[in-house]
Amino acid sequence: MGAAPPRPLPYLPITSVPLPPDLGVEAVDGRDDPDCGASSAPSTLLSALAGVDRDDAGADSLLERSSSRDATRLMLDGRRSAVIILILVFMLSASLTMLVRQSSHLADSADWGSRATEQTSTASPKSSASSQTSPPSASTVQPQPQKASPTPTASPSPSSSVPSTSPGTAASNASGLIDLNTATAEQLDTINGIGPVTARRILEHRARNGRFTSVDELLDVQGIGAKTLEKIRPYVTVGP
Amino acid sequence: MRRRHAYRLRERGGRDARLLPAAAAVWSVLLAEYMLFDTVGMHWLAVASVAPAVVLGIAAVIVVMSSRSVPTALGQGLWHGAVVIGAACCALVSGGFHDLMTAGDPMVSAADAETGVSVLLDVTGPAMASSLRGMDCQTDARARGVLFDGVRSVSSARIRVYASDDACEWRQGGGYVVEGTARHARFGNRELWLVVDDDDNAVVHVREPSWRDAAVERLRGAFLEQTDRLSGQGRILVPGLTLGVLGQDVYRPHVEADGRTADEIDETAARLMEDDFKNSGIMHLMAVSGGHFVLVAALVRRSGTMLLIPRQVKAVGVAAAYIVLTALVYPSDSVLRAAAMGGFGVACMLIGRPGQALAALNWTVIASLLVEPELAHSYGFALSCAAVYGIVILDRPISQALAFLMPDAIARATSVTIAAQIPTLPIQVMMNPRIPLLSVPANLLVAPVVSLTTLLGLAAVGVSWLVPPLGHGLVVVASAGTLLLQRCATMLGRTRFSVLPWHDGAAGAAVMAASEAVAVLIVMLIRRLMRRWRGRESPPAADGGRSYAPTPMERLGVWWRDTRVMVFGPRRH
Repeated sequence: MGAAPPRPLPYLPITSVPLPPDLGVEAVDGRDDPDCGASSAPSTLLSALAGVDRDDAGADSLLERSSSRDATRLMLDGRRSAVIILILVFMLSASLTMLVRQSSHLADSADWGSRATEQTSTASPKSSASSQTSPPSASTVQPQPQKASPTPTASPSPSSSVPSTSPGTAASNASGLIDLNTATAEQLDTINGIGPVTARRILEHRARNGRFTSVDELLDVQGIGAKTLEKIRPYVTVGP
Repeated sequence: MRRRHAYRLRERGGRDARLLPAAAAVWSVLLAEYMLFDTVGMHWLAVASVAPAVVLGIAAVIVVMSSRSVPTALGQGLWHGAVVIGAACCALVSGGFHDLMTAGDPMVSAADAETGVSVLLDVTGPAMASSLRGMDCQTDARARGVLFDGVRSVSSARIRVYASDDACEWRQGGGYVVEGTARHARFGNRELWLVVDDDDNAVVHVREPSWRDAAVERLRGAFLEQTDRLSGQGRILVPGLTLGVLGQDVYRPHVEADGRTADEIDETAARLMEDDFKNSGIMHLMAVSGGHFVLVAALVRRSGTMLLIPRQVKAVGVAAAYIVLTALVYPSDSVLRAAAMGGFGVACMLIGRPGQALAALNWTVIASLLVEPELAHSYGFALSCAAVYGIVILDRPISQALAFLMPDAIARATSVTIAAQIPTLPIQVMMNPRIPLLSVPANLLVAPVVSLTTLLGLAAVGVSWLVPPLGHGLVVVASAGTLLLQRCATMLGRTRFSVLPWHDGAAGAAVMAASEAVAVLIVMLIRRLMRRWRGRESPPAADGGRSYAPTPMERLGVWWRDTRVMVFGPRRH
């Protein structure tokens, strides 16, 4: 037995459990070996018999606590950095491509261009130009030549562009303005800025609270605010 | 040198934080660019032309040097610095060009002038009850063309359209020509508004929605019809939990097609309930986020496993389920984040690798922000990402620390709440300067009910169009679950200790972050003191062993087992 006693494997913790002699495992006597530190003990680990490593634990929590790999992955090398930067540049080009596509929808604007031309150039009343299916409330196209600049100081000439299909012009007095106290719902509807529901609400307000004494009382009607009032003020008046 | 090698050996592949600096760089660069755009303006063009050259130069240097893998600190600084600079340059270019496009849009000049315009638009969201007083409904849309001052121009602005009465017939996915007034927004997350004129023909329908949008509208409509028949809290909360829209925000025309009128929800009661939810800290349940996607994925996976379907087919099934879910729920930025992260999970399942939440989240943030830079200053996206970062990074350490003090299930539920709240509180304080102090017990109380109620709601969405009575039954059971939510919110949201007022704005957020850091330090100090007091701070023994002292939970467990044996007798197997 002239051979040096075998070194204990460095990562196996040593316990002092005495082994049966016929096992065939060399017992290490650390006291004779000056190179072994105080960590070695006179016998090898019981776990060497079972074949279980410290990293071989079964339960997740045990693995978490005593695994040898416990640090967050943070190290890069050149190849990975290059791949990451290439992927970033790819995403950037996808983003810019989509941006360019969004701003060049010529087909849609051409389709809408014809409709807008219809609106701005024709002055004929109530032409039903829509060929697509649409909800019943918005199925006809009306010419609105004053749409581009609806300032409150617009001249009363828009009264000529308001298509008056109802024969009841008695509600409008000599200057072409509509009298709030005697107008019907259709006549109120023809005003640019009052729709059918708002016209109904004006009539309800009139029925509930009596006549209007000034145009400003329209602010009490739900759906008419200050801006709407300024828009319709040139077309309405309050009769005696 | 040896220490760095040792670190590489200690790295674990399942916690991959290599892209965290890049994600942080992208987000901060986009925020800085958004805030400085008005002052710097056209100079972006010069910067944006230099940035790609810088990126390509860095890539070339990397390729040349990539044969050497340098594990020293300097080498790592080089690689990480290259990635961060590359990400920052890409973000700069993307954000700069997007801001240039939105600033030069004709809708912006129309909104500056606040005059009437005619807009060709695509409706991108469902019609909802208006948040602007005086109008009936609102919807989100994307402008395609603007007729302003007699000039037709192409536009790509995102606008919010407000309308009333008969003009509120918006169908998601449809194209319209709308006449109204453009203005700048006073609130909300869209910067341009279009207020539709109250006129017969202010809205012209020019394009039908696609069959997908029509199908989604039908499913949603059938579901909302069933929830309308519930009473009180069910009508408000069941759509919120399922689709992400509170009952009072759904647009209902006042007269149904057959003359029946839908009862209006009491607005005051609904607003009170919303406030209760915010004050008790469970308002996040009313926004669709990752929880829905996890539920749907688990459902598809389990049924696939039971039917012994191969993994790739299951992955395709999960992807299809994600697409349907994203289409069904009301659109929002947190849904976008959850869908993108879900996409990564599906890809991992397809190629057979275990998914990693942190890596997926980093890539989601980078990809979403590069493709859509407006998300950088969106509160919904920020809250959603912050919550997931908190859960991914902080959940495990907190639950391990709490497991010593309370049973495992409670420790896990509590740690999820705390981990999600820590990063989101500074952002929440900027939106709404009040801190919900009782959010941890509130979330604990409602946690058992949420998943089941969400599943019931989603099932109701799936069947209401086919078998309305079955849908109604499912919705009634779901409303029993939301009753618990409402009671919990009322109980915990109205006490004197529910809410802590805080300073608002960016200063409040900074103070909040500082207070959180101080609180974390105090907790760590207390833990060290407790450990020292209990004597467990002795250095590890020579063979790697550490001194053991039973934790409070272990002592409680031993006491309980002994008591059970004493009272009920030993277990006989």
